[in-house]
Amino acid sequence: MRVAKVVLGKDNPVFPGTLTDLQDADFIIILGPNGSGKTSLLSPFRKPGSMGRVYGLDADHREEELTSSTQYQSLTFIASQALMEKVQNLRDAIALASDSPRVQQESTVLQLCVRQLESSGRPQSDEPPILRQLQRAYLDLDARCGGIRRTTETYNALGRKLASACGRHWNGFEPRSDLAVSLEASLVPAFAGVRGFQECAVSLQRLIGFARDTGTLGSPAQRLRSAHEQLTRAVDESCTRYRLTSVGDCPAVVSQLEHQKQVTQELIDAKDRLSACRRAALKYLAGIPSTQESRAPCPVCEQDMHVSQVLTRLSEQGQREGSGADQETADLRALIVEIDRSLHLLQGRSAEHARCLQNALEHSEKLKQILQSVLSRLTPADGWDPWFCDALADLRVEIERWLVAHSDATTAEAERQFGQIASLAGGIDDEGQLRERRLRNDHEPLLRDFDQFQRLGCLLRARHELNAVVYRLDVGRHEADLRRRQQLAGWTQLIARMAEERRVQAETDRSQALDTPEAQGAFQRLVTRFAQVDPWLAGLRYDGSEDGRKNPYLRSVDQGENVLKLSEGQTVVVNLGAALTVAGVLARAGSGVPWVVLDEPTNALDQTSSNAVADYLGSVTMRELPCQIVVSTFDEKFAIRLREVATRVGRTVRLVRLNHHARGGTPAERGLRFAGIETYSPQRP
Amino acid sequence: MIQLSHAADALLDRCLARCNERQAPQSFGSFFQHAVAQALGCIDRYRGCYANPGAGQPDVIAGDTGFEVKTHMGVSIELTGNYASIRSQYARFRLIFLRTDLRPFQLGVLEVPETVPQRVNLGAAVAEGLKSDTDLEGQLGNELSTTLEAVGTDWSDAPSPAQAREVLQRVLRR
Repeated sequence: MRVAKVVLGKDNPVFPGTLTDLQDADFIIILGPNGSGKTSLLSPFRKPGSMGRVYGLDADHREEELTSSTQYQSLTFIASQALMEKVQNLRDAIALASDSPRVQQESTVLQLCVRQLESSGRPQSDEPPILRQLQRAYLDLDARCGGIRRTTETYNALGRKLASACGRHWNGFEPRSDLAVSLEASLVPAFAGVRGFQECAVSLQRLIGFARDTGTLGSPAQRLRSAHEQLTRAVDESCTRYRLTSVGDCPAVVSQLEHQKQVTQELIDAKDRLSACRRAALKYLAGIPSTQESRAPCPVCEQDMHVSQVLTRLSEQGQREGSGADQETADLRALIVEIDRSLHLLQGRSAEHARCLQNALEHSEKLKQILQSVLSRLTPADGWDPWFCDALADLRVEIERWLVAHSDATTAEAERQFGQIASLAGGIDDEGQLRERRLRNDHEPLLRDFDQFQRLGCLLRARHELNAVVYRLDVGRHEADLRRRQQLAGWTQLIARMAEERRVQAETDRSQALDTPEAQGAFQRLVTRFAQVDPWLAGLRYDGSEDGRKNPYLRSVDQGENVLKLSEGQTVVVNLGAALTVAGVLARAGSGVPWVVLDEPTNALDQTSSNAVADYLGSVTMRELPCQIVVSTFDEKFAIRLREVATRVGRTVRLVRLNHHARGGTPAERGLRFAGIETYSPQRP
Repeated sequence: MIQLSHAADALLDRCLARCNERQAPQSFGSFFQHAVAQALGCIDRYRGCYANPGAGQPDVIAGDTGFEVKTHMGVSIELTGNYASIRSQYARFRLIFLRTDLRPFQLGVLEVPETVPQRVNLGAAVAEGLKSDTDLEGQLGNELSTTLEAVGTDWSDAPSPAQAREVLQRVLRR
């Protein structure tokens, strides 16, 4: 079907516009200056839609929309840019012509089906994940029970042996006692040894008193050790504290010193007063007349004396004071200074003492707490060694006594007694450790049995939990699933084989199409026509090989080497030849290629080359390219020459001339503006 | 078909994995044979049974009953060879099999008729003319589970079937 009409869409920049009556034209040449809307008019050929649509006429002259399939669009619409950019990929282009992409696509779809079928055919297990986890845990535990028979009977036998051995070794344990009965009872496990194991373990702990992993009770020796350590720390703290509290009588000393200072000061004051009195007496006596001096009372001692004698005595006394009394005063004053210094020191120590006293009170409270805590932990368990029980009883008595006697505040005596308690605990601790070591040595085989007993108990518990998982394989369903998978596998194989066959076929078709002498010959013939542009071009050969980027190697016949670089003009020419070769192959292969559009094919060409292209395009015969050719150009010379050559070789040409169209404005103003439409019939020789 | 306890199944799985690691998957059959012989010996009716490693005889013999023990991957098994002549020597003949292509493993016991079929179906449905010995299947399942759980990884990790048999004898008979 041939193109009859082009209708521009509303999104087209030159909308509205319609080009009609094209069905008889072999060549449609769109001629117009730049900006006249040539490319816009051609856009429906590239991609129909809102830019416009292309219609043809069927046998009954009914309009029918024509489209170029997506995969051929790049081959049937050749823009100038594409012609200038690179040598077209002939391999892919020719492969398209061979229809191999469709076969390849089929192969890909089939492979996708295979993958989907394989993934959907995977068996889905209903097995609970916990089953595998428990199995691993069980196997790990089992591996640790080397050499033990892993049965409940073994477990019970081991437990009985252990209980019996413990009983024999321990003082006070009666085989028929309540403890023995409960131990025996606990050895009969309720849940394959799980509960029995736990109960038995506790009983054994109580019986033996050793600290083992599963027990909650500590050994007596361990308890004593921790108590002793706690007491020792407390005693160390007490010793430090006691040294600090040795300044206990400070306030009395301070009081005594203050009294002494007061007395000394009073002595100094009295002495000063005496000196003043003596000076006054001398002055008084010196004023008494000699007649009256026969007898007068002494101003100092108030005895009747001759004044001259009194004067003499006072004078002598004054001399004595001058030589010695000052020294005495100085001594007294020094004493006061000393007393002040002592008072200062004592006040400091008194404050320190107050702090110590507070600490001692707090410490005393702490000691009480320690002893109470130790006391609560030193309760002997049933069946413990009597020696331990007696020792603990002594210790308890001592502690209780201390607590009663020193419930209020700490004293040096309390600290001392506390130290004695710690020492007693230490002694018991040492003895306890000694006994425990001895006991451990004696009971080494028993302990090994106990370890084994523990491991076996854990293993039995794990086995019980594992076996309690409810999961049963539905074999019937599994087999049905298996049959379904086998059926699926058969289909998958079949489809995979078909996919592979198509892949090989596509490859073969592609290769054969490329190697077709027809395709290579067509290219050669087309390129040869450019000899007038450049004779060198006529010597180019395409042998089907490609470079790393899938560009075809063009081999120069003369120089015998690959041509990697072409000038711009040469590139346009070679690309044009290649494009028309591909389009020709496609059209002849009946692939439904409806047209070949060339948008400005003469870009980058000089006039000679442009003429050559016009000659070349115009001379393409219907046999070489059995479809309509649409060419747009701004070059009127090229258009005229193309028209002339085409009509000369017997093709009908429709020349559409366009004017500038107005941008913006009303639709009528901006629409496609035809300057003329001419039809040229083939020239008859 | 029945499955063993999960613990016994885990041990069998481990044993098979060990055999595969040693590049000796076929030795798993011997491991299993010895364990079956041991378990059968715990069933009153077959007490005193013994494993017979020689050719031309059943794998386990208990008086007038012969046992063929098979581990097999797949839904059917071909009984090729001289089964007919072996079968004819015993009044009763049982095929004990373990499907190793399924997890958990599936244990089954089939009564083998006097005319030994060429192919036996080991699937959920027993082929026409064959019958499952469901009593023995249940008993053997219990005993085999107990036996394997008693010996544990000492058995599954034994380096060879012979050493695994020693483990069975040592652990279970003391």
